[in-house]
Amino acid sequence: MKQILFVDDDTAFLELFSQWFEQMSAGKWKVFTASTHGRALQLLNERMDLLVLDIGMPVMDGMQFLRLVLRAHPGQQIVMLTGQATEERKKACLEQGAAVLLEKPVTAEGYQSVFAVLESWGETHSKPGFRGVTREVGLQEVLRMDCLARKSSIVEVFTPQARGLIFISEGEIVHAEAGSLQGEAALYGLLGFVGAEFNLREYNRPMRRTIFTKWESLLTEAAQMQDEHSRLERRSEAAPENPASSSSIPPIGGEPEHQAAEIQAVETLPAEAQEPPDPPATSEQSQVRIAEFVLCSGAGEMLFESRCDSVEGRLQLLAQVEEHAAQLSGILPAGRFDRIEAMLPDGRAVVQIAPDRRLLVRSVHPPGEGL
Amino acid sequence: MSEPLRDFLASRLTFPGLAAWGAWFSPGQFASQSQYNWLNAARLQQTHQELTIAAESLAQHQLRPSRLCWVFEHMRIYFAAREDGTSLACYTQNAPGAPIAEIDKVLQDFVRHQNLNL
Repeated sequence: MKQILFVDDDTAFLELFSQWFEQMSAGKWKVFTASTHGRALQLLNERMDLLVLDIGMPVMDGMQFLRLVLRAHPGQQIVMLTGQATEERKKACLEQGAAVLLEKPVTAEGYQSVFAVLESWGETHSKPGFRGVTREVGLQEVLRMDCLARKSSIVEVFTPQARGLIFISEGEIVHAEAGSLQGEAALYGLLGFVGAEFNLREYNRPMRRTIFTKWESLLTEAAQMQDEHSRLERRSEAAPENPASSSSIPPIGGEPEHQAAEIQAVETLPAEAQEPPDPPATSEQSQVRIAEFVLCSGAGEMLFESRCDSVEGRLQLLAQVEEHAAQLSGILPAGRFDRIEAMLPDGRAVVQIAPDRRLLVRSVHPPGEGL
Repeated sequence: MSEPLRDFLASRLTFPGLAAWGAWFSPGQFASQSQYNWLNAARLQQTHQELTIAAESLAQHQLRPSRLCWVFEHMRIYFAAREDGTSLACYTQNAPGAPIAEIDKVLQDFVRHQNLNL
């Protein structure tokens, strides 16, 4: 059964249209609805065959949301709905990556037309290539086969919480992207997904080449990283709880080397975010858990979030931190702002503002550590 | 400024590597000390105001830090506010060897110290 998601702040329209659509499709489509962006993002983790999006939404309009969705879910088929489908709007929607712009139906005939378009769209745009699930080294095997056969393709990798693309051109891995990460970092993150699904898609040249290392070296390096990760996990599981070591929390704003490692760990988090809710980190940090994670593009568009209660609230917070940092930079010649580190009653938070990303990570520490 | 606060600042903020400090004690009075001319009292006070506002905006988002560190390319600014309204900011270079642990300890004690502003 195909899955379709309708997003519109008009709940009456949503109810009417979804009921009617379900009836018309005679069980071929499972219909989901969302009246807010937050709910829509949640439902998109279910992997929808088609997303139908109203342009006129409050807070974030349909066009902004379209961009956000395509960043988080590349390849998602999106149909836009509007009260007035002008040529200008149509052009803007298609440029931003929507499949088609339709006028919101107001008559029975209109509803039938929209249904016909959506159904045929779902039929003809089912994903090409083949689909698989990584089992152990399944994804690496696919990459190896394509590279050996000197093929050109795009491998779309997705988990319920993250998406990414790997571009193979004539047997060379030339580009990878996952959230705000690009290049080898993104590739290693994608290869680290356990139980991720993937699609093979027709090749399109990426905006730019970000990977120049030979595919053999890349896959070997990825395998070594996975071995290392498994080794650390085993050690972490085997290590007895040791309050003495777990309480050695570095001071706020710790040594630069330590911070660099922390930020690096944070950058690779999306790849690990599909692990069980409270993954053990290293044996030293086994008591600390990531309570919240938010990653936005430099322009402030949400790319990835995990366990975030209010996405809009966090977007606002990140924007405010950037503003305060700019104010401080105006007063003091302190150079480029990097991050805030905050000691909280139950843990710590890091907010990083970089030209290409905004990041918030909140961790919770075990009680009694005297933060 | 209360005597305990004066004693605390005088005795604890003496370690090398500390570029400057500024303290805001109720009602709206400010004291500061700096090793550099360019990091003067007016700048420190203006910065302190901004740090206070920023801490309040974090609190509005359910983040109530006991201590904060703003990391810039060349400078780290540490900030802590007590419930009685007194707040302290410490400035150091963002470079290896900066007295990070010392500052953190001072801020920790500053927040926990009983009756500092009486």
